[in-house]
Amino acid sequence: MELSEFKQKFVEDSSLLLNSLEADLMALEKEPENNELIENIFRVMHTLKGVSSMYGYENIGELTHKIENIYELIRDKKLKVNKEILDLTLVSCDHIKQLLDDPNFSVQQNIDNHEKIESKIIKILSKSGVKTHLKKIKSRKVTGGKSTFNILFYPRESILKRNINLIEQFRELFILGEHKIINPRFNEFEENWSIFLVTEKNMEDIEDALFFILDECKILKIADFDIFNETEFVKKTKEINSLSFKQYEDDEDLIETFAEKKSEIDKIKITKQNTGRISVDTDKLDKLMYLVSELITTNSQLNLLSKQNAHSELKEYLDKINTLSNEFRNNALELRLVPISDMALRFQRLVRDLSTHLGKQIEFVTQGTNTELDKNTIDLLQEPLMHIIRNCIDHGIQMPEERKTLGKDTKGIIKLVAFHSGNNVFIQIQDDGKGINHEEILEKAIQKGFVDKDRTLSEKEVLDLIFLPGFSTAQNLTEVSGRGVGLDVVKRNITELRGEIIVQSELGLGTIFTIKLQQSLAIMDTMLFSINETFFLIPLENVEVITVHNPKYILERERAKTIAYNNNLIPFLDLRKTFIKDNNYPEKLETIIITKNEKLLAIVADKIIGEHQAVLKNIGKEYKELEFLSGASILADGNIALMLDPGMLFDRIKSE
Amino acid sequence: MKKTILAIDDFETSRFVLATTLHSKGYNVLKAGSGKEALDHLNGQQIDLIITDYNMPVMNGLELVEKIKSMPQYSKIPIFILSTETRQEIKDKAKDMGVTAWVKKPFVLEKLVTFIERIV
Repeated sequence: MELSEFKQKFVEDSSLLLNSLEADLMALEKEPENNELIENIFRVMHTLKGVSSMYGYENIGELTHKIENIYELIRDKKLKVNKEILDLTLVSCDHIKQLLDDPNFSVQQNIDNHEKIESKIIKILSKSGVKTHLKKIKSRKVTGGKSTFNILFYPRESILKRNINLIEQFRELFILGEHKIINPRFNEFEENWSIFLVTEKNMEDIEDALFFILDECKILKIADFDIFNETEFVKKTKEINSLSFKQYEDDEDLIETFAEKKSEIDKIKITKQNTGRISVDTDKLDKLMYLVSELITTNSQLNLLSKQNAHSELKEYLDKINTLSNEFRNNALELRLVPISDMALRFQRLVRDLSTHLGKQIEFVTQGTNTELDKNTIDLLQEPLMHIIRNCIDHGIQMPEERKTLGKDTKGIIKLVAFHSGNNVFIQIQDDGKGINHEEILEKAIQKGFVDKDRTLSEKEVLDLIFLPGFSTAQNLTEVSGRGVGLDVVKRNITELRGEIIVQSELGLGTIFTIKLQQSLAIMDTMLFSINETFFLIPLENVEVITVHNPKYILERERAKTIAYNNNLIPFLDLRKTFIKDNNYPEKLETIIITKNEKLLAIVADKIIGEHQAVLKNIGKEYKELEFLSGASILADGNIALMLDPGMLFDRIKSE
Repeated sequence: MKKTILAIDDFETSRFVLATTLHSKGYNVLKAGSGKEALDHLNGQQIDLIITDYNMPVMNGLELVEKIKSMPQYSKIPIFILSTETRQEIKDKAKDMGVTAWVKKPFVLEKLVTFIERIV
């Protein structure tokens, strides 16, 4: 391994350590007397101190050394865990992550943060009678000589063909200095970015950094100074001068031997192995999934062929291949599954920081976080869940005094619950806050013209109004949840994941958001049916029942757009009209009744063929306009079947 | 593993200088004096980058690129074109064809090497 690879490994390992540290800190907040946790935190700091200096991350080394001192005092019962210390350690965690990217303080923000953190640590230590010293930050940056550049970047499509990784190109640019504003400017016709860069480097250096995309950039020097910061160093010097401490002789560090440091590295390795996971490039997984899907398709073609020409000697082996490829499929699907616990940790942090900010007392509880979901789904789920949780913190949970007068515990609870049911995974966010006021919602919806005054809505229909675009119940948009995105975006994100979101609420007791998702997106159990010679698929889980109708009846009901089912009239869709555009109905029609969000819809088909394990592929641009198609799958005989998106079908009925 | 670069230039001195420099930086270098020779090299070789001159007799740099890009197994190999040519329309054409970089001659060898390191 080369030195740079070592360094890379160090950065990866340290990030892992910091994540485990964050979890320990959260736990310590709940049990401030837990010696094991304190010992853990102390050890992590000690480890980081040792290895970071070895790789030239001296600033991290010094910082972790001081934090280690604090936890040493706590361990020796000379200091008690309090919020100040926990806050500081958490902030330090974030800061160290920053420093891993920026060991030499090329970013001003990092210098500021570093000094703030150091002075706080020193305050804590000096209160406990420990003498320490403030060391001036070693920054390679020389003051002055900075200029500000503006770079306008408008990518052309050819970049995709040219094997150019844009992130890498910008990394080259960003290491030249501080990038202050990156402003994506989208319009209908093109996208472009405006980037401000404060650097000591000259035009040529910037041009070299952007060498591969230079034709797509316009670079302009806009000032001979840092236009974003003028008083930086004055402030810094003042801060340092205001603190006066005696030099603190630090012999320990000198005694530390190389052998000791080496054992620290082994420790990191062990910590990593303990997690029992390896990280794999997602490209590799995608490739594997592609191969598996090809295998399944080929396998079913082989099965079809063997049914037609029965070679008895082959049959045994074919069966075996069948079983194996099924197992292989399930296994490959599982590879993509990750537990939602990683995500939960981030939410815990969010709840903690936000509730402190708002002066609320909230405990975040999780249940079933070892439930697994597709990695892609987890990534895409994060934003919507964050949004819901922010809403709960901001609008759901009341202030402590208010809760007290209501006879509730002053501490509110937000609960993340995850569980399995069949092929689905359910994720719930529950809060014990004030609940949603139906009347308020309805009043507002009428006011905004979303609902007709004379219509009576069921409770559920009223609650569903909050997912409409442009609907927001908060009187004033707040800093926390009013970020211009509403629950409509949450709903859209969930729908894109082929999931559903349902809200239940009891005034005064709280609110529950339930998200229903498929565990895996790439392969799906579906119902296969045909109309004329065209094949369609619908997710099996949406199929309620199959009925048979005379074509005459369907034609008669066309005007009313509904058919009778279980003494009710339900809407129906005649796909023949949409896709086939002929009127050669067979003698009898089979109708599939599908359900979603507790609503029913009938799809008129010619013939139900049966269940089909669909390996879904994206469909080409030509079909993009037909938004109720979500993909296509190749059938055993080589035909293509189109996958219908139930959600979109319901939307279509609604808009008609 | 050593990365392999295919360097194409009809002018022997340039070819030699380029190849020697890249070699000293730890790359495996294949040399070709024409487009045709370059295509012969492609047969069965694992190549990580192609650097070609633009102005060459018989088959010029872009014609060579066109041939390479039409072969699916080689179409993903990044290509640098070295040239004194400065006409923007030719550069644009090259980029549309999927050429990763157009390096203006004369170039600073050290810089070329850093650009190569960023791609390979």
